[in-house]
Amino acid sequence: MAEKKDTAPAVDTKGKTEEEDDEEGSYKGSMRGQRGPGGAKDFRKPKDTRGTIRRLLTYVVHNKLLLVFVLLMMLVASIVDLRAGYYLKPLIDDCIIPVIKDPSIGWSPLAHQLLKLLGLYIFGAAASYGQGLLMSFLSQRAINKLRGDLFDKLQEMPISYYDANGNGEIMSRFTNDADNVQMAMEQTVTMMISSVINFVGTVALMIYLNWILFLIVVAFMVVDYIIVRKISKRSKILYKAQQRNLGRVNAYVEEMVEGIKVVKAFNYEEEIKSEFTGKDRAYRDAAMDATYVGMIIMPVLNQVMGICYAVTAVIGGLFVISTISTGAAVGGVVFTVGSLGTYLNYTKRVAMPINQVSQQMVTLLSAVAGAERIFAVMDSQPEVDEGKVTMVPVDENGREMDSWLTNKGEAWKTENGLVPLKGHVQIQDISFHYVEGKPVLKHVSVEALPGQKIAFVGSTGAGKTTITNLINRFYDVQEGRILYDGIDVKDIKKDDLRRSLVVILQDTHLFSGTIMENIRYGRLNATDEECIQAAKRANAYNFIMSLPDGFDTYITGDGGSLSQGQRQLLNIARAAVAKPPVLIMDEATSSIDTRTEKEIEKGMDGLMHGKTVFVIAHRLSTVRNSDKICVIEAGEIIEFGSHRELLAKGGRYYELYTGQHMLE
Amino acid sequence: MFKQLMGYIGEYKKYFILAPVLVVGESVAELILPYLMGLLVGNGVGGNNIPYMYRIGAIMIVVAALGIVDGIYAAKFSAKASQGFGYNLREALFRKVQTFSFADVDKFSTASLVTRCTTDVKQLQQTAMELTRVLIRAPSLLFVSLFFCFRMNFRLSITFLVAIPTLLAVVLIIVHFTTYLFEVMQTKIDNLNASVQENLIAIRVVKSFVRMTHEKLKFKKANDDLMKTSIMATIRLSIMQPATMMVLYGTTLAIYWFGGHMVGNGSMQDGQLLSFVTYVNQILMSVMMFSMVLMGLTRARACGRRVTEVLNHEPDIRDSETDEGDETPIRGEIVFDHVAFKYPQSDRKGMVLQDVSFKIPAGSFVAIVGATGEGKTSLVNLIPRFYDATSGAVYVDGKNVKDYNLRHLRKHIGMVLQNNVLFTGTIRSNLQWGNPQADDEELLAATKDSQAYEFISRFPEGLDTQIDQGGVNVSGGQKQRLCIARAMLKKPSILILDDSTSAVDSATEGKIRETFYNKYKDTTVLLVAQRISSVQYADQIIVLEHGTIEDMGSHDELMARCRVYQEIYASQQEGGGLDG
Repeated sequence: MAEKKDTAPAVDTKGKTEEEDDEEGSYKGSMRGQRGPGGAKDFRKPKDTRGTIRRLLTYVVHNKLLLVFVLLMMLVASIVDLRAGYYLKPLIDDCIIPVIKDPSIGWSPLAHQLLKLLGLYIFGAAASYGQGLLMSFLSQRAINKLRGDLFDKLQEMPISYYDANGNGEIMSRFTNDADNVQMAMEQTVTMMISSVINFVGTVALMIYLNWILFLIVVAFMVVDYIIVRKISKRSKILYKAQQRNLGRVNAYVEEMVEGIKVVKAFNYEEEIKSEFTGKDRAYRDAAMDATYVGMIIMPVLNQVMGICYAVTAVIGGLFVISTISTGAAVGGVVFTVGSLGTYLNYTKRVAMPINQVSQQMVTLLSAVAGAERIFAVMDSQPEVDEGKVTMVPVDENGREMDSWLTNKGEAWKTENGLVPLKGHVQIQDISFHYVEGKPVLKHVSVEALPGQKIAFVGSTGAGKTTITNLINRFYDVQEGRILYDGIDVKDIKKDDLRRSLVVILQDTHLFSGTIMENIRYGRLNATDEECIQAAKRANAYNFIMSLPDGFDTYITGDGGSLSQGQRQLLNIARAAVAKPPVLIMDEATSSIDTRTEKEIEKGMDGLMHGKTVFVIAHRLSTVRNSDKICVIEAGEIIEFGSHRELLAKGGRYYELYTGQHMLE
Repeated sequence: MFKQLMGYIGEYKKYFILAPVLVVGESVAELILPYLMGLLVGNGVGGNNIPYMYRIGAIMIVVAALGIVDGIYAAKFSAKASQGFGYNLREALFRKVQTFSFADVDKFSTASLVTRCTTDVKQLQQTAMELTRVLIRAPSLLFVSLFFCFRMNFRLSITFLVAIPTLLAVVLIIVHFTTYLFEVMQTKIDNLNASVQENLIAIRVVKSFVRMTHEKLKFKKANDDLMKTSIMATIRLSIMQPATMMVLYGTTLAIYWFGGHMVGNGSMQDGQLLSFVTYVNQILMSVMMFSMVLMGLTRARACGRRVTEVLNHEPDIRDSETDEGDETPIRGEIVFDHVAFKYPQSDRKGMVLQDVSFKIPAGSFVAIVGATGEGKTSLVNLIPRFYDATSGAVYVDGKNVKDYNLRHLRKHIGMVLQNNVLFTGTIRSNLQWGNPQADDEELLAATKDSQAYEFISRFPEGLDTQIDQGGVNVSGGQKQRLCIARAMLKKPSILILDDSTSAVDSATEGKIRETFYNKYKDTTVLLVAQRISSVQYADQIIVLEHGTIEDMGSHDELMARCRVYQEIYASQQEGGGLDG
């Protein structure tokens, strides 16, 4: 039942790809935007930052002019912000203080200046709005294209790729990585650019106002930088420890909640609780340290700049006094009350961008690393297809037609003319291995004439499923060849080859959608009537009609609301609606109990009639009436013949059949 | 709900009180600086009083230094408070889940329980931290700033009474019109990811039906749909920035205008105007910060609800109040008296089991056969009270299972579940679940009985072989044999095997069965199986069909009279009894 299929060659490569910090990922779910305090989040660094960013930009820049426009608006908004801050000085020095001395000047200069300021403000707000709009539009488009390209690429990958990487790993490209990229595009980039502009502008204005005072600020910023660096270093280490412990707690919760039935059956609740408490405590302590250190950056930074503010205020005050009393400047600097006010405001602001950038940097780097992983998927080798032979529709005389709707049959179009599609499969001396040095199949040869039923019997891991994976070219043989209607399958276009075969797998995968849609998956242009006929043939009609909405019943995911047997029936109906000449059934009925199997057997017989069929089965009742039976052990055909012949021979098949030797 | 969650603050209460106090102190330190600066410029520079300037300057430095110390402790206490709260909550939750019956677990689903214990608690913990910091900091910044402003100039401060409500209104209106869209967006993202997952799982189907283009189109549709919603949402949200900026700018302009007049007519110092402008920023930023955090609380509310739902859930099965549990042995007689059963969470109309009555004498070997979905598993789950019968009663040794102390009852029942699990650890630690005191000799004896000894001894590390999560590194058959050994180690009076040899070949299964006959004579063995070959030697065979007992008897009796049994037999006979 729970047979491990012999198609998982890459078991030992799994798990290696996971990185330590991934622990949080699987529990992230739909909770987005949870960032560790102090900006510490994900320390996996990208390998080729520049190249990745450049490539990411191609997604954003589908219109260069638009991007330039966005950057321009960003610049305008930041400059306006800075410029507006600078208004304080002329307002006080030129419009207010003169009034004190000479009230006759009146308030019109102030009103005039304020109106100008208002204009500037509106301009800035408009620029920032436009920038926000365009940026969100661009980033949404980019992420949409990124997701689309990734998905499309994944459809092109060979089966071996999925075996090697595992669904969880591939999924995290869509969830974690794409999310990080999106977050960075929407917020981080804008924030960082405006932070940089702000910083540069603020520094420039400060130097312009009073370069001597600025030296004080520089000194304090250096102190700040050293402190931040020290704290973040410590924070990173602690954060890693926290994540490790969190991973342990989460894994334990998952394991024990999933195994809760066993816990109950063994009265093991108390032991579980105390073990959990131990892990939970370790996490709590690690988290307390990490959170604490992560959180002190901000207040320390703020207050250090507070000291700087105080020192600047005093020294700046001295400058003002000397400017007023001597009427001359100190060190060539004219410093008024207005200048001091403006300057002090800048002092409060100048450190902000540094902190912002350092916080955003982590997000940005993890986004780049995510993008890099996404691009790595896009760059991996897709399924190669060198086949040139295509399948074409033909009329009743075997001549090629244009339409797939009115055709009477199909044929292979080769360089030497048309070959009718019959379903004649010859496996000639093939050998195959997933991993070098571990052969799965050794010199296997079988021929299936059109309409014949060939069965493969043998232990788990003997290589039965592999043979079918080679026929439809999920994998390619390393030695020997497989002919389909006399043509080497390597010469046939893969899509057309697969259209000429239908595979019914042991695992019944259905898609979210109605039952009708699921059946139609077998042949997209099948009419409702054809789908219903197929359901009848597969003996699925009765149970479908007993569902609340019949064929329109919506099923989700892997058809959880249906029983295993019902899902398998739908699976068979789906195959029945497709009409290829070759049918491969890989343990198609093993999940159905023997009595139900009897019931669908008729449907199966109808499905198999006139087709070349390959059957892989555990249960010998399914293979008894095959034309030929191949007993496979350790990659080799050890016995071959009809049921009757093999029984007469008294070999392995006889043992299997009479129950003397059991398959595991 | 919040009140209930607050109960989990527990011993970290002092940090929950201290942290906000210190946060307020930190904000005061930060805000007092512009005020002092105003004094410094107004009295010091304006009055040409240099010693005064030094004095104020020194005070400012001391305040900032105190602010550093204060900030560090605020961070420390806040970390302790929030992480401690998270710890308490997680403990309570995990412990609560341990009291759940199977029906309770079904109700919430294991996946959901895991999320509640992990992600949801983490979110609440995060919120607790924000509560102790931002939610306190923002209002305190606001009030302290306002206090200084009003102190400096009452008339000018009135501007804020207009500005603050305007800003609040702007933010809340925008948020009101966007949150909904963001929720829709999140659902669409989840759906999109779910469809990718579906595609990946079924990739072999996709490839063999050559439906790549079809799948791409399907994905593109969903992806584009998501993009449209996202753009709509962000477009609405991007009005936030300019709108709030305009309020801020408007206020600044008003301060300049009115303040300028006041300075001009001498009712205000120029230094104070400088401080005022600094406070405008501070005040309006705090208002925004506050409204944002409030918004974040809605998300926490959803998590809080999910967590309290678990905490407040009454376990479906409650332990007997009369039976304290003692050392009385259980002989193992089982009686079902007109039992009907239906899964509490199921919306299925009919019963899973209907009018099931039978008696199994202590020490006998009984098998249950029937097609998939006929209620075999449900039936055996009623014996250790994993579920309660919907009507009728189950008796063990003549006593209703509901009247037993649960631990006592389960201690004497060994259960090998259909979907059995091994846990991360060694083979030894897994086996010891059956009997924590068992030494290697006992462990190995049990593995011999369950036919697991042979493969364990082939492992280089024997009993110390590591088992990965979910037991993925042993084969299905090996796993089943280990699970049987684990159950045998309990030395139970009743041993239930629920289709637990399906991956074990018939020969090995036969040996295990023999052990039951020979070594576990006093144990009542209940075997659920599909293969006739597994059940034919049982003392009694119960044939289940559509949730009712079709017949009960020995193999020969059933072969003679039971049509369903004959059919099952026939369907397997042709296949040579290979597998089921």
